[in-house]
Amino acid sequence: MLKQVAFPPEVLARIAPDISLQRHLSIGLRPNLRNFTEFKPLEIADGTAFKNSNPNVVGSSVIKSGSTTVMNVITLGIVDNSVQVDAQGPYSSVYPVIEILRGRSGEPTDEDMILAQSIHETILHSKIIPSGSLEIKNVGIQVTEDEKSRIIYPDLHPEEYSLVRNPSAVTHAGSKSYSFVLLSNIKIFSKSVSTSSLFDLCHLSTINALSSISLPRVYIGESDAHTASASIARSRRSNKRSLISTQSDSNLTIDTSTELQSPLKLELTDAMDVDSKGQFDHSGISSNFGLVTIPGDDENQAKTVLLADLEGEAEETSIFSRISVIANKSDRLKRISLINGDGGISLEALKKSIEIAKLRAREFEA
Amino acid sequence: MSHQVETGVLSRSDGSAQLTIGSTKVITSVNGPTEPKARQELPNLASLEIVIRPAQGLPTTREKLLEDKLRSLLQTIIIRYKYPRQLIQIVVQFLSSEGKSNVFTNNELSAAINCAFYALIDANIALNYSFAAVSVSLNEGKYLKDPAWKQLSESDSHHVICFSIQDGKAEKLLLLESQGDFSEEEVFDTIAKSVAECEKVHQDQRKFIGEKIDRDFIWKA
Repeated sequence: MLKQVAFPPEVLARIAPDISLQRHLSIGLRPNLRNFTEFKPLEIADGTAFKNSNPNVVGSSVIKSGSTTVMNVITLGIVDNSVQVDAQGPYSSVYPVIEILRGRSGEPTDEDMILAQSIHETILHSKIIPSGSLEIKNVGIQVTEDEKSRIIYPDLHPEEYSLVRNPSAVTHAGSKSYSFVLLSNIKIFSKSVSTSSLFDLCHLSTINALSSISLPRVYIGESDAHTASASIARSRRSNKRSLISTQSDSNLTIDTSTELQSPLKLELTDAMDVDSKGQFDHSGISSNFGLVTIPGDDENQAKTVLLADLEGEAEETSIFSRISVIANKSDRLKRISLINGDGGISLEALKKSIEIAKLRAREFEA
Repeated sequence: MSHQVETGVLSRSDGSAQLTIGSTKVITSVNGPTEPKARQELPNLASLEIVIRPAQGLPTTREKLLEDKLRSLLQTIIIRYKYPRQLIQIVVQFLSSEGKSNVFTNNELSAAINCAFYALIDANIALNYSFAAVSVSLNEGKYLKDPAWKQLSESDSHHVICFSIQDGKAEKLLLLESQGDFSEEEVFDTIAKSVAECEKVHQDQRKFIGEKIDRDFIWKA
């Protein structure tokens, strides 16, 4: 006779997460003790510490949800507009590298790649970063005058610029146009939430970091190696000769002085509402839901319940029907991703999750 | 937009199909049930291996995301408990996709789903139900099916919708991928309009599979 084996709840949760989840739900509880449609609380920290301590960082954000911490740092790259492979549309996106830290090193996992690509596509299709706002205008020229170098910008020092401008420098600075690209580096510490919730956190942190971006100025640097062949221009003030590099490979350099930075213009606020100030008003807030069927017994009928903000191993591994919605304050939707795993999602369930997502977006205070 | 299908195009795989929708051309092979690698093996279910290859260049994260969407759809459609400890391998190779731009994946996702259906049928894999997908864009409220790249780039929102089909009728919404800027009414309206479109795709599927069975088997008079 085989003896019946009983497992304590925490062991059952490891070996049969689906059964453990159903036992929890049948008594009206989730394994994480939240209500069915309750979201996990979020804390948005002041993430400007990275930005202020490192000149390479133009935007940053730190978000905590329970023990899960998402750190997002945005740095810049510069591309030549004429060689960009992608046909450039009216809107740009960020290029995220997401790393979920699991205490091992190596190539990125599929989960990392899928998350990063979803963030990239979502930011692009949400139409919040106009390509024009990333264009580099007014490229300065660094000149050496009396052994001191300074940078002359066409819009700030128009008179001097017209003097130092020489034909070969113009061909370099004027004929080509450059744009910034936003490189976002997201690190996720102690992941306890599901992948769908991680998307929500990454989306939030990307919007948060984007809204803190200020773009620096760019100038054509002087490369020491080429000063011998530098051409000579007259500066009005000193009547002395100053040197400007004419090499076509002279470097574009980012000006680190913070006074000259200008904030990145984003279409984050609501165009319809002039008073709209919130960074999430237009871009929206991402919410995720899972649907799971509780099998019926003698007394109760089988029913399908909607769970918000999936968390934990049981919900991650045994819920296949998922909905992810990005809604904004003015009831517009930016993204819906629905996958009907066990056929539990009806149109009513979709309607209800959109409704909750809208409500959450309206009540969200950064 | 014209759908052109051909099955059994690859002689060495268990099932294959080639599908052309507009300017998107895709070939899909299905191998399985076959022996899995030890780490892929599931004790009570078939494991799925999905590989997507682009028309140009090497697979990137863009293909990884498409693989993930296709996997989450197919893992519920294939009756996986029929093939425990087995592997079903699906390779989707795009032959041409309209793209001077990598920005949109809608037409590719919908073509991959529809092509996978024919290839799975050709490989005789057990399915819970038939399924059909459409790619749709909304341009100033106008519903466009199988939008071209230009229409997609001018669209306000774009959607991929996949329905399960039972008895020739669209039954359950299996997959919805919507992006852009849209309202709740618009998305429900799009879903409602796509029911008929998915049923239309399914009529083509039925017709093709009917002809295929006539061709592949010898029937007594």
